[in-house]
Amino acid sequence: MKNGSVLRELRKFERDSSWIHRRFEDLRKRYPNELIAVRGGKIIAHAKSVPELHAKVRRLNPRLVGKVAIEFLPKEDQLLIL
Amino acid sequence: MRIRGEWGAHEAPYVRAVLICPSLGIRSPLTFLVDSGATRTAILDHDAQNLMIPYDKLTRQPQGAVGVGGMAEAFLMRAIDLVFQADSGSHVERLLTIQVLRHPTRTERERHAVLALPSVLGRDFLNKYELRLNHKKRLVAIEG
Repeated sequence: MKNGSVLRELRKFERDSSWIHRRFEDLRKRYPNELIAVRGGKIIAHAKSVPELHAKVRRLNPRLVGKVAIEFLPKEDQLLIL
Repeated sequence: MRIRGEWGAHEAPYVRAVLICPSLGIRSPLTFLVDSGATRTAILDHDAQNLMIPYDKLTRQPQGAVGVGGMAEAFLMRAIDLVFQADSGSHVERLLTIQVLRHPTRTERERHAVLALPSVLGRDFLNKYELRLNHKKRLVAIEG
């Protein structure tokens, strides 16, 4: 398998996903109960549902749908016992 | 082989990979919670929606799945590659199947709780390797 382009895609995603995780608490306050999509260290869309988020990302660049880092930001602190 | 992850939201360990499923035309990156409590690796609701995984083309598991989000519908996606960034280049993990879960939700609050659940990298993957977690040193590594 030619993994060069896959790894480039993964590295971009890792940077953006990490960007979200480092700011998780601040972002939760700014976008309570919303999903955000991040590309290049910038929030490119936010929405209440994945289809709504996809529609906004699609308007910016259809090729980015399903490829950018997204995260749901719960308003209430959630106790996760996994 | 050494895959590095990081401590992220909720001070939990995460790794990222690109999921490739040629039969469904899916090639998308996603974030996994490293979860040694999970029997199987699973894609949860918001990632399944984001990757536009067609549930109707998956094999439904009649027994479902039980987890932190309660009882969920469980589906099998077949012939998956997970591509990780490793120190030595790429690491490709071939999985015969991966679970895709769908939680029923009745209220907005339940919907929010389910959307917050991360996809999990479970013991079907982790038990093949050495998992190294050290929060004090901010270390998340899978080695083999």
